[in-house]
Amino acid sequence: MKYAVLKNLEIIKPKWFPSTISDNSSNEIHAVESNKIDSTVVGSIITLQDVKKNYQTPAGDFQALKGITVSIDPNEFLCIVGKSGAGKTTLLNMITGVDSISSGKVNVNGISVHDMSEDEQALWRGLNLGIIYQSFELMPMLTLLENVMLPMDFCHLYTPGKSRERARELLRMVELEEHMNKLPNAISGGQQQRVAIARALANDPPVIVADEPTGRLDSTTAETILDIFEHMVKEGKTIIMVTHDASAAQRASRVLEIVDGELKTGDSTNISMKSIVATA
Amino acid sequence: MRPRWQKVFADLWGNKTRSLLVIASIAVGLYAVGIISSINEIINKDMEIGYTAVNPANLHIFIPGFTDSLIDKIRDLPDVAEVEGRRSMTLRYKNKNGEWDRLAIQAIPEIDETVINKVKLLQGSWPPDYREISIDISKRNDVAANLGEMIEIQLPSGKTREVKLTGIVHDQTIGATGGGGGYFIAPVNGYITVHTLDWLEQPAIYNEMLITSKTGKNDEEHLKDLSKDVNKEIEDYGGVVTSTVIRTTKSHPNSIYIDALSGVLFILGMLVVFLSGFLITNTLSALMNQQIRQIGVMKTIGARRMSIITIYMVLIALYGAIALALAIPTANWSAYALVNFLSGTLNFDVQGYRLIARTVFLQAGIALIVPQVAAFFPIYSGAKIKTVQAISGGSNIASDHKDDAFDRWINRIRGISHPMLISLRNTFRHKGRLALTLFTLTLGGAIFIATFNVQGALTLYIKRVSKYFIADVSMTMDQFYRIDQVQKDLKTLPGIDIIEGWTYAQCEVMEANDKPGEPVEMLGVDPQSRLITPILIKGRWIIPGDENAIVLSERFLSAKPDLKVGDTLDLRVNGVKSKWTVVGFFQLAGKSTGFRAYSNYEYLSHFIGSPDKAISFQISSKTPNLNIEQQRQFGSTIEKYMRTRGYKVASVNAGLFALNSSTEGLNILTTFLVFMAFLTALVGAIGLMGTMSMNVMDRTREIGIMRAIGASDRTVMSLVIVEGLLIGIISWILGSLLSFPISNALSDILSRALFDAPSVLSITPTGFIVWLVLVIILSVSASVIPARNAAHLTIREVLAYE
Repeated sequence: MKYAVLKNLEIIKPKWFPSTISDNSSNEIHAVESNKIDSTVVGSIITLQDVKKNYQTPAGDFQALKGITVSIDPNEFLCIVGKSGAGKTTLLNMITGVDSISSGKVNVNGISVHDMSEDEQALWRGLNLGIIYQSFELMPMLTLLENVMLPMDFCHLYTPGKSRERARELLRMVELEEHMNKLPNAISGGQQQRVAIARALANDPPVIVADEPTGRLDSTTAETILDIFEHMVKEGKTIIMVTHDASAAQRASRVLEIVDGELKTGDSTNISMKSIVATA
Repeated sequence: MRPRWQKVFADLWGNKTRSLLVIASIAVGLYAVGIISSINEIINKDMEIGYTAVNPANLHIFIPGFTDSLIDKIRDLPDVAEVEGRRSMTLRYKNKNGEWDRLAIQAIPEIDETVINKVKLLQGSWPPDYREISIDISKRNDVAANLGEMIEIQLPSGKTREVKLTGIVHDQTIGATGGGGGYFIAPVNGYITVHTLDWLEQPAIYNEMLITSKTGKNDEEHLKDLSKDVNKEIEDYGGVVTSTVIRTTKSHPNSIYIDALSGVLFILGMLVVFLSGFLITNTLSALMNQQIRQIGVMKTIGARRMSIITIYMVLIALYGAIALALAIPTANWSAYALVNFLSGTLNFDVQGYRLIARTVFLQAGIALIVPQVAAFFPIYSGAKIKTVQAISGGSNIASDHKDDAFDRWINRIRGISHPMLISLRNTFRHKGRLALTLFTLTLGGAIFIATFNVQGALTLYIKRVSKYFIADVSMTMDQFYRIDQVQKDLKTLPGIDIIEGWTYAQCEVMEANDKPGEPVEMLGVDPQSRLITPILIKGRWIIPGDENAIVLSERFLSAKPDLKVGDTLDLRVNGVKSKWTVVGFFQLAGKSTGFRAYSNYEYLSHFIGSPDKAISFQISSKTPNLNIEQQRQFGSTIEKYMRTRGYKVASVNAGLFALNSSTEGLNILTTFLVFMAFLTALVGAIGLMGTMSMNVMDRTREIGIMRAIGASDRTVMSLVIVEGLLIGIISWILGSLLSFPISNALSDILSRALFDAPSVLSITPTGFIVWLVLVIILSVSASVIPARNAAHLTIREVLAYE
């Protein structure tokens, strides 16, 4: 990485950008400790305050989220369940900043997500969140290795050599190193989802957001994915997962149920598995 | 390589069909622009450079007889650069059909050291020696003799002589004096040394003086002044000038065709640049539409707007660079192929194969800027799209969708089959893209139809020109004969219908200094002649009872722009100065066909002292619509018969031969326009193919879903075919309408360049029909191929399709 680029980064650097990067004038950039979840942090890593989201439709205004307030602690494995159209994905989109908020506040690691410009959000997401989709969303024209390297390329956290090394490590972690030069369509759905997880971990973000990560997978493969998630939580990550899968929800440390855009009141940590199964 | 650049190359290489379509769309536009720009540059420059290189005479002065002493006197004039004397004559030779035909011969002194009107040796040797002749390449095919063989020449005394053909040369100055019919009507041109004159029973004195100016070679006013000085000097010396032709060094005899082509090329070039721009915008919009989902994913993993814009701009630049690499050589090669055709027919020298810098810059500019500009909006919109929207593949989220009145109308349509309804709604679903597609196809179609219209108009015009040559045979005699006698004799031959006697006088236009200027061919015809139907630009044709009334060719309009109907024109007719009233202007085959005039036979024949007599006889057969061979046979029979009756026949020409010679220049333009029409069709076709294919490729996923819910391959195919046809036919209707103003502009440019007259819009159905057929074939095939590919994918592949 050339110094000039680093200087550029410094100029556009938002306040949450790891402080050591802009000071690093050497050719190597390293992931910095401050970017990872600090196990000593006390309090919530993510807070949502009275989050509302409205859509205008030909049939009139539709309120997808009706004032969600929730806090998520570091190292938590949170599962969000609910019927189709209840607002689960919309809630995730509010946390990731992928969709605009109608009112309320979303704070992640002390950053107000919706106060950033879209460009700032993009870079912030790349560094702080790993997003995993039901349909994997890998770049079809890039090899598995290149797919995993892509977030590192966009966020300039690592030199190309270091990126490649790290991408291989991540693929090794998800047991796909031997397939790293294949294109996504040459591997199975479960393998593609493991690549998507590796990609989500590329910049070593503190938070992983997964939207129906096991929705397209068979039960055995889904179990493998959930094992990885548990492992990630043990490594210090915070995971927020939307699912219809009852067994997946059972792995979570906390389950939130969302009904018609509202969090179901009551003890959400012991939500009835019956209701989860009913939504599936 | 960084993954983002890997993506660029993977996008380029990974989807070869799509890349091919995008590159082809850009390349075909660049090709068309390149070919038009190159031809324009080459024909204009090469004609001028080549013509200047032969050092053409600025003044051609015709004097009945003079020697070197007059030449030495003229050479002493201050602004005279070079002077040469020549003897020119028209004899007859036996052509490849065994008929006697005209042969224009120039006898040149010190032939190997000539500096004015230089000819270029193509085959054989130069200069010709005693009893040897070289001929010009343009009518070489009329001469049967090969190099080293003899050409039989008939002398004015009736004797025949043989001269050896020793060289084939290229003379770019043929038609420069313009008194006859110009280059295309000119006979075979031969070149001999003055020593051969006695062998041809010609006096060894000059009759034509060629002069070049030291300064102001391209300033017509300056050359007129020089002409006055030279004329005065000649008269002071005791010489008699019969006519003077002034021509600038740049004005090649056939430059009007190049002017006409340049005008057409300029308009077509501008339109094609626009067309290419829209084609590129259209294709890239479709490309970006396919990339929206990937943009969304990139945004979720840290890509900022600039990163995304850069990725796609680099991709577009690569497409542009590849298209440029393909277009530069192909356009240049094609341009040269076409220029070689033009140079052969318009008698100019191509200055060697070369890359035209201006064209390459223009192509590079278009290749590197137009796609970037065209793609910037779709790329910027793609990069700006909300991440949530991009992730869902760019589908309209509820808040963005608004049904307009047109949507509501489409949605209310009932009574047609469901597949048809789906096609109809699909066609109008993305109105922005539909508008862009329609605009591109409409413009392509309009240019194609317009080009055909102009070509059709020229073809129609050529048919009208044929009305000057209604007679099957035109027989010119060596002397005047009584018309009633000729008619009486010829009527004994079977198959003869009409015989008209026309009279002829050699005239010169009197210039302001009362000196004879340009030579004019004046014909005296019966005002009620059935063998000529003129094309009038202004005024009227001659009528019975006209005396000194005269109708002038279009050449007068360009040479004397102030001359109007009703004006008096001073002419010297057979050496006698006289005043003539201009009653009209007629159009023949363009300004290069020379100064021609028609007057009332009755008056002219009396004026020149040969009443009731004629030198030219126009004869038509009772059998209608003879072809050129039949006309030749008919003429040959007449000639033999007349000779047996003791008539001195100078030449016999088939009517169609005269028509073909006169309209050869126009025919070249029509051929060229057909080529341009097909070039536009190529751009339009590739544009149509690209757009339709991209549209269908864009819906691969949708096609898969339809198949998943029970649609047969046939249903899917019919859906896309109907959609393709709908777009094709709408564009055809709009293109047909737009073709009218474009046709008008193109015809006007051609007409002004050729005839100095505004055009009358002529619409021919050919272009409309051909484009409709092309549009139908192309829209169907361009839709079917990707639809078939999509229909053959498995449901899993389709749903995973990006």
